[in-house]
Amino acid sequence: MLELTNLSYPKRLNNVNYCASAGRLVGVIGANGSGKSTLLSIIAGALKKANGEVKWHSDDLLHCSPSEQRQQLAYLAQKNEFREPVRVSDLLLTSQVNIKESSATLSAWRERSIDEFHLGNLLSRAITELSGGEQRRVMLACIYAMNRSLLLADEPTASLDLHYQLLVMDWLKAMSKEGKLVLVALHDLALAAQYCDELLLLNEGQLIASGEPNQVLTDTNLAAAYKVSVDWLCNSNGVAMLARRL
Amino acid sequence: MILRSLVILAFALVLTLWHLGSGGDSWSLLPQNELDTFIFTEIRLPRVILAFCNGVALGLAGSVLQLLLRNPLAEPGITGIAGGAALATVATLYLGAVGPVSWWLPAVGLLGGIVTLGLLWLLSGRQPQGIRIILVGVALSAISGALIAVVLNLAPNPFAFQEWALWLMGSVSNRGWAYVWLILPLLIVSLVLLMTQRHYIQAQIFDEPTVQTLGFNEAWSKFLLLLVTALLVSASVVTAGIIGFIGLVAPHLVRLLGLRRPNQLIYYSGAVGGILLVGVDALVQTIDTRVELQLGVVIALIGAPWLLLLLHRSGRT
Repeated sequence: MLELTNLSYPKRLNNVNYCASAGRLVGVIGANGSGKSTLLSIIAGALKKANGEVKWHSDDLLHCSPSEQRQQLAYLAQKNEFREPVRVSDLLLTSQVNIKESSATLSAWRERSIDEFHLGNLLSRAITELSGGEQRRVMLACIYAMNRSLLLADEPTASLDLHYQLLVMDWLKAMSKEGKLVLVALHDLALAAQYCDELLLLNEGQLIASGEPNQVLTDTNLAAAYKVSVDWLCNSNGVAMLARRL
Repeated sequence: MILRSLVILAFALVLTLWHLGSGGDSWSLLPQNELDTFIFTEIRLPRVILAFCNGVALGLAGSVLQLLLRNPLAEPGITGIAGGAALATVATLYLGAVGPVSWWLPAVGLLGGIVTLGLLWLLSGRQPQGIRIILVGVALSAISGALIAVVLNLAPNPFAFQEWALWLMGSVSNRGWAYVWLILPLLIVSLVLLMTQRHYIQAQIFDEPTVQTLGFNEAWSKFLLLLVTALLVSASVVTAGIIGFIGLVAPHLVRLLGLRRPNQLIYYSGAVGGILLVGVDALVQTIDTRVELQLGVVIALIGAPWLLLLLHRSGRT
């Protein structure tokens, strides 16, 4: 169970209260600058000096040591910039640094991750030679190899083509099905509606709506958060997309 | 990897032999008489070891800075630490507080380097992000450079001016074992500290936000690595003056050798830096000039075009 109590960060996040249980895929949505990345960065420990409380099971994530925090969560940053052409196998190995498990267990997790993300033929390749989609796949594999119970992904579908967007969301959904709590910041509301079990809608650092997608993605909420009037267009299979209201 | 190590070792061996045999009237390695033995053990041997230690220190410091600041142009000079150590040394000489052969002189230089590190750390907000710490370093470097120029301006006589100016250009000649014993312990301490941070160093293959969530005490690790560079650079400045370029070029040569893992990059940069400096120092001794050319100058003259050539070739392939 993840409990956020009065979570604030100067000028970026204001008194966010929320509760989510394990095994759910929770989407964090909102306009640019609404506080999505700030929220995930605070929980991940990448942004220090936040006020309030972040409880994961019985641990207070805001006040525990980096090493203790490491045992609980894995974080996928918004963008991954690689300068050195290091091999994919090195990234996978290094991603498990500071995880307190036996080397046999860590090795088994790596193997599982390589199978799951079909990395067999990429292992000896340099990360800088890979396409954006393949790099994301490698980073997701790294997150999977960490095998933490709380996963935070900051706009994992950004700058990916449709094929990779759906693959990434499928993987995140599968991870939540394994019993992990997955928090994912998203810009694509159609993906959010289709994949997420719950949504958090942020506006100017405040949580203005939360709950199941159909409760959150209402005309009023969307107009308040994005300052536009939109309509949902659905096909016969219930797959939806948004369009500007004419 | 083993092949690359062997090639580097072979290079080191050849250059060391050349270095040990150069500097006299004729090339000779084995001592023929007592004088030769004295020259070998008291002049040539400490000189080659001091040159190697200095190169290692600068190669290590340069590669650590490039990794830590995530900037391939980072080198010990831009942190201002070398300038701080040099300023402290020159100012002490100017004030005549200690004699030029006193142990206090390198101690003051070392202190100057450490104090500059402290300033760098405080002024860049104790959680240095790449670009901020570089800008603070450039500013500190400019200040120390200007102050060194002021001290040189105020030099009491032309001889003192020439002596200090030559020292600033960097050289390992006429230093003896005392300077080797000064840099060697600092080098060993730095290597041990680098070993303790090997996981953090390896984690630098990821971007900064990711590294922040990998369970490291980042502020402590960054401080420790900056301290290591301060120790290495100060040790180099107080034993050999300011030798630029090695810290910048050694990591790039290692990259061109195809070694990319951060820990590999650091240790091989040390080895390559050491070999480069031994080679250039041997060259300095074989070039017949009225006053022996200074190491720092020759390195820049040879190294810069060489780096350009290598980059041109690697760019074509």
